[in-house]
Amino acid sequence: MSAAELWAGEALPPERFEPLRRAAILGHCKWDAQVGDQATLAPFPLVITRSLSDRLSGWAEALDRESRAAERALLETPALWETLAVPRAIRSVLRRGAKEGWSPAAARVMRFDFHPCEDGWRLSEVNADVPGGYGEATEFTQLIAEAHPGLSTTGAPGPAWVDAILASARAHASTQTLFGVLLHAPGFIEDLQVVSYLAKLLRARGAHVTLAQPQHLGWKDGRAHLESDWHRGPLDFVVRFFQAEWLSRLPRSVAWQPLFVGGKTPVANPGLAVLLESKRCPLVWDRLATSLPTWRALLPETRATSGRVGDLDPAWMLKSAYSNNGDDVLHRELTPRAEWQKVTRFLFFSRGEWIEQRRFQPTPLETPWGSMHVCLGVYTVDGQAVGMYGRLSRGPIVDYRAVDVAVLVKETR
Amino acid sequence: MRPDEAYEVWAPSGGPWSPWVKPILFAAEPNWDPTLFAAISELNEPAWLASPSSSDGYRELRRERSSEDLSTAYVIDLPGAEAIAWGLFFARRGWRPIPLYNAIPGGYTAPVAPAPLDASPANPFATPGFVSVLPHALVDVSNIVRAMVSATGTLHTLGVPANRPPVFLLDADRRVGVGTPVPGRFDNRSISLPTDFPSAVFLRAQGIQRVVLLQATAREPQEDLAHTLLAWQQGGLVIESKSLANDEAPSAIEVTPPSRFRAAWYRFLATIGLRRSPLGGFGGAIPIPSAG
Repeated sequence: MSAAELWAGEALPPERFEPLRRAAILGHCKWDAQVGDQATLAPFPLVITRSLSDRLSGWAEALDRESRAAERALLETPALWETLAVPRAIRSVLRRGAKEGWSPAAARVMRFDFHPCEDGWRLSEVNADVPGGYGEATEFTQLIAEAHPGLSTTGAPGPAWVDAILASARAHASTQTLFGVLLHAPGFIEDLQVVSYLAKLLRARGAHVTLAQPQHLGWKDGRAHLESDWHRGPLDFVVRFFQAEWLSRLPRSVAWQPLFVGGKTPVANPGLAVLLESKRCPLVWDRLATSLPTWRALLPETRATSGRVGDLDPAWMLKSAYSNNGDDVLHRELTPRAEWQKVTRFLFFSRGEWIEQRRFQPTPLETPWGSMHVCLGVYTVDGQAVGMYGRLSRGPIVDYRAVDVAVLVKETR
Repeated sequence: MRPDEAYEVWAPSGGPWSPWVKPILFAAEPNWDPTLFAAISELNEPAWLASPSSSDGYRELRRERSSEDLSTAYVIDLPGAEAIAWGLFFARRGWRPIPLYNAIPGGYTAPVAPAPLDASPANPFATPGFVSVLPHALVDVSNIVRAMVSATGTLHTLGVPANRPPVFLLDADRRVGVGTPVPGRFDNRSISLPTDFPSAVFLRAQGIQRVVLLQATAREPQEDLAHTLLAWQQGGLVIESKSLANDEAPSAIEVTPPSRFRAAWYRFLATIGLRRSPLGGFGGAIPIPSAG
């Protein structure tokens, strides 16, 4: 990483930052702005050059293309799904896809997470299923940009996604007025704020939307219906902000299967995103009839684990197939000993749900809050890069305690 | 009063406790006119406040000298909106109420201005305000909102300095809700997490040495809250408990590792795979409430 292409801007003084923070939490659904003693909104921006912005966006678009080609290949190769650790119930549903047809995608969003290292940029993962951070990457970033003349945002991923959702829904709908639902898991404030923000955007564009949970979905002739105590009726689109691998663990009475196959209502993201979400995808690359040159260049070496990791080389990390927010990302020396032992004690029996990945050495960045590690997530919507989500962490693993930071572009330095 | 004005009343800029004020209700409710709802009746001074604490070294909490008791924080864990009345009670005596209500109103999403849709009650997808849809939510936020709106005017008038000791306000029904969790209802239950509070280090840095938990009947904390209290106790704070079912003074409790919580609540979540991170929350479609 070159300091000439990425640096931290100066922090706004409290009297200038606090109104922006309040605008984010009260007006743009940023409800976890404080986690314990940690403030999670940075009062300073990350500034990148236009050339770096273009390079990361270009990589993200290439990764998106390669990912969807790989997804198509995976859909035609059911024998690989178990290797990906796709839950058995979902594999069973996916097998029906070729015959019944895949449920239509309302729009496809992914987020590719990049990290600066001494030897260049590294990719840690794609969030292909339910990436979040739209409010932070759009509204909070815009607020910070307005306080920094001469700097611009990298895009507006929230509006880009909902516009694509509505365009797809209109193409499928027979009426002018669109009705949609945003599915979410109860209790997760970080999810609630995402769906609330998206609902706000959708409503501002004239759509009628409500939050709901998967048990409120019904299906008639493949079309989604809301079956709740507060409304019953057909839906024109479904925003699924409920992790795919969780769906299969819901009670049998919950009809989640048409989110994957046989449905006629557009879903964003479609359930089959569960394939790309698996961190075990690299294990099957060589068995796919598609090349993944950008993936191979940017993702650290990945291998299966024997499950016997008591003396795992510190050059390697452990990741579960469906880890989120940095949880289930473990390192023998960085993870607290008790947690490491708790997770790895019986890892042998679930080794098919984990990978070992070579650890990269992220380059810390000097910021007004001290030395921190950077993660830049680049969103793509239907293949096009639409903006970036910046996070900072004091440790090398970016998790739920990470600080959200606006990513702004300077044309020339 | 606008939401941001109401938020400033509860979370004054620069206040040491302001970052912990939960913003969901302020973000969701567009109208904070305190005259909309009846004023909250002032609580009478309970007899137990005149009793000495069972913990040595602390002054008894009495109206005439309560302002001197800067080392005690309160956690009020009462059903529905009841904690708000206690928040005002302590605000009148110099404490700073910190609402920690985290339940999202049922079926409601953030407001849009200008509202592009018909907001009539006949249109459930419009932005009618959550009172009209809350009967379908497991946790009834409507009474909490009404009480918060009403209390905002009183708190504004009281003008409690931002740096006074905190009184954290919780809804004791947050984990289980009210009524039967049938599938058609909106599940807005939540749990209280240690990350919802300042750490023991922060509390002690602000001069807090003692925390009193106020509950309706039980002395033992709810199992989610026990995680926070245990961390505080391990961090050197004295934890006391007070049941409103009697007139006994607050007394010290030994918070034990919440094994039942782990066993019942976390075990369920882990079983169905809905545990995302140790402190990140939980999720599920009508999860089974813990026995505690």
